[in-house]
Amino acid sequence: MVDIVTVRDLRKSYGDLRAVDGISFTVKKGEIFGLVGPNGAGKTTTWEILEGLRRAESGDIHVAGIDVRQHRRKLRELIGVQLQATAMFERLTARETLEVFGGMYRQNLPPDRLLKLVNLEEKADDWTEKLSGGQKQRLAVALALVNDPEIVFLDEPTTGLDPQARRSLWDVMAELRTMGKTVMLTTHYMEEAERLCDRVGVMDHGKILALDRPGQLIRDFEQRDAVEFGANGDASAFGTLPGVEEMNVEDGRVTLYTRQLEKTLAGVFELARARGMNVEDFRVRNASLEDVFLHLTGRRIRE
Amino acid sequence: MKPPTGFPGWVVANLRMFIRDRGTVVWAILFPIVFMGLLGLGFGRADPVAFDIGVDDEDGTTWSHALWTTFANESLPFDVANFTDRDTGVTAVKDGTLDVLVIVPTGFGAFMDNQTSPAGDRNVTLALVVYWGFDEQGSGQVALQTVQEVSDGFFRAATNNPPMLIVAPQAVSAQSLGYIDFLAPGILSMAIMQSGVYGLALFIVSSREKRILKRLHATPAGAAYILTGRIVPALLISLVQTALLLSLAVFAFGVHIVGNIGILLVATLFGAIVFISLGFLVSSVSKSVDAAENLTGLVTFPMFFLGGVFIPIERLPEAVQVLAYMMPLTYFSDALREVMIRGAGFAEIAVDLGVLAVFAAVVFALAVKLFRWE
Repeated sequence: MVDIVTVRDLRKSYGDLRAVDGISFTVKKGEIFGLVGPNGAGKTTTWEILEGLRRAESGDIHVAGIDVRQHRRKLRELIGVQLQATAMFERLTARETLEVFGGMYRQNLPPDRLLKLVNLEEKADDWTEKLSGGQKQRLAVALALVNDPEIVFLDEPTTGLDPQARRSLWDVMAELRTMGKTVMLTTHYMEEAERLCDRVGVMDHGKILALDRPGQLIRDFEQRDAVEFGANGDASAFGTLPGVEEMNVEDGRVTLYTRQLEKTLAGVFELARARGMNVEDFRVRNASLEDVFLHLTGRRIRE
Repeated sequence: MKPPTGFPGWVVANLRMFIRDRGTVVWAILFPIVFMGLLGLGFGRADPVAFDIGVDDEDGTTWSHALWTTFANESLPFDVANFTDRDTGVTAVKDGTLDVLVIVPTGFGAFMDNQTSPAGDRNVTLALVVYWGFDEQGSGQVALQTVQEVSDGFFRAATNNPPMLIVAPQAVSAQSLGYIDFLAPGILSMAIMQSGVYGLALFIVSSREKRILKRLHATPAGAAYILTGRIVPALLISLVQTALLLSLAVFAFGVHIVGNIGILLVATLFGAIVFISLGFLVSSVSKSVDAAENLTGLVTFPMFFLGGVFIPIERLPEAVQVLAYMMPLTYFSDALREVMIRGAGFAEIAVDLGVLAVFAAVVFALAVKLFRWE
C-alpha cells in the first residue's frame, strides 16, 4: 500500500511553546490513523498544518502527493476537513449547508447521499441551530466528505458528546473505512482509538511517544493486568507488593500493574487487613490503551 | 476538472440568511420606514418657522449694508444668505432653497443719502426688485409681505418720513420644499449606512468567532469568493431598501423626485459600497461580536447626527462642519439630496461620488490588509 501522508520532522512553535516538536510518521491509503493525547498535546496544530491552514516552521510534509507548503489550494480540493469545535451557519438547513460547501469544490457529492450516510435525512430541512450536538457533529463529518475526498481529517469529532451520540459517529467512521477513505482522527477517548484506528500515535507535549497498532501498543506495554480499587488512607505501601511494576494513585483510586496477578492480589488483601483499610470497588482487568497512555505520559486524559 | 459552480448558490444562501435573520429585516427595512413615517408625519409640510431670504447687494455701500444687517436681525424670522449674482439667487428661489431674493440695486446708497439730507427730493421712489417663489405652500408670498414691512420700517427709522422704497415683486414659479423633502434622501442614506456597516461587520465577526470562517478557509474557495458572496446580497438589500423608502416618500408623503432615478440608484450603490467596506474594516479590527457592535455604533452614531440626515450641514457650528466633512455619510446624503430635490446630474454630484469612491477604495484596501480568517 502506498503512503498517502508522509510527515518528516515537523516543527511548529508559538513563542516559547513548542506545539509540535519534531514529529514524523506516514499513513497508508485506506488507513484510519489516530493521534491520542490531552488538550495542548499538539494534535490540532499537526492536523491544521497537514490541512494547509497553518504553516509549519520546518519539516517535509506531503499529503495526497502534494507538498502542503506549496499548493495549498490544490490540496484543499483533495482533502475533507472537520475542525474542532466549529459551528455552522445557524440559519441554513443541513441540506443547504452541504450544497453551499459542495459548491466551493470542483467535485462534490449530492447532499442527500451525504445526509443518508451520517443518518440525518430527517433533519435535512431543519436549520442547523435546531440540531443537537451529536447531529451537528455528524453534519460536520458529512461536510468533510462533501468533495468526496481521498483523505478525511477529523479533529476530536466525538468530544463533548454523550455515549450514544459517540457510538453513532463511530458507525459513520466505520462506514468511511468500508468506503476506502483514509481517515485522520484525533481523539482523547482511548476506547475510540482502540476500537477504530488501524494505527495510533500517542502524543504529548508536541512529541509522538509511541506509534503502532493499538493491540501492539498494549502488548508492548507487557504489564498485562491492571488491579484497580479504591482505598482510604496512605496507599503508598501497595506499590511495593510482590509483582507490582507500576502504581498510579488518583483521587483515592489505586491502579497496580502486574505480571504476577495472584501474588499481587493476595498481597493487596493482606496489606489491607493488616492496616485496617477498606478496599472498595475492586476490579481486575486487562491493560488498555488508557494504561499505555498513563505509562507513557504519567497522567490520564481528563475530559 | 470543472471549475467550482457554487458561487450563485453561495450568494443565494447569504440572501436566505439575511432574510431569515429578523434583526436584519427590522433594522434594514422596518426601522428606516418607521423613522421616515414618524418624522414625515411630525414635520410634514408645516409652515416654516423661518423664511430663507437671499440678498444680492449690487450697491455695496454703507446703506445697502445697513439694509442687509436689518434683514439679518435676529428678531426677524429670516435666515439670510448673501448672493453675489442675480442668476444664482433666482435659481435658488426656483428650486425652493430661498423663499425670496431681494435685489439691492446700484444707486441705493445715493438714494438713501438723498432721502436723509435736509435738501433731499421727497418725491422720488426706489424700487427693490424682490423675486419670490410662487408655490402651493405660499411661503414665498408671506415672505414677500414681510420683506415689504421690514424695508418700510428701515426707511422710516432712517428718515422719519413715509416710506419711499417700493417692493417690486417678481414671481418665480418654484418647487415647494418641506422638511420631508430634505429628510427623505437623508433617511435613505442613513438606512444604506446602517445595513451596509452592520450587515457585513457582524456576519464576518460572528462567523470568525464561531470558527465558520476557518472552516470556509479550509475549502478551495478564497477570501474573494467568500466575501463577494456576502457583498452581492448586501447590495441587493440596499436596492430593496431604496425602492421601499422612495416609494414611501413619494406615495405617502408626496415627495417629488426631480432627478433621474437611474442616477439616484448609481449614487445609492456608491454609498452602499462605501458602507459595506466600512463594515468590512470594522470586522477586520474587531476581535469579538461585542467589540464589533460597539465599534459599529461608534462609527455610525456621529454620522447619524452630523452626516446631513436630519440637519443641513450649513446649520452646524463651523468647527463641527469640519468634522462633518470628514464623514462619508455627508457626501452620500448630499449626493442623494442633490439628485432627488435639485435634479442634479452626474456632473453636479461628481465631487461627492469621487470622495465616496476614494473613501471606499482606501477603507477596502485597509480591510483586506487586516483581514483574518481566525
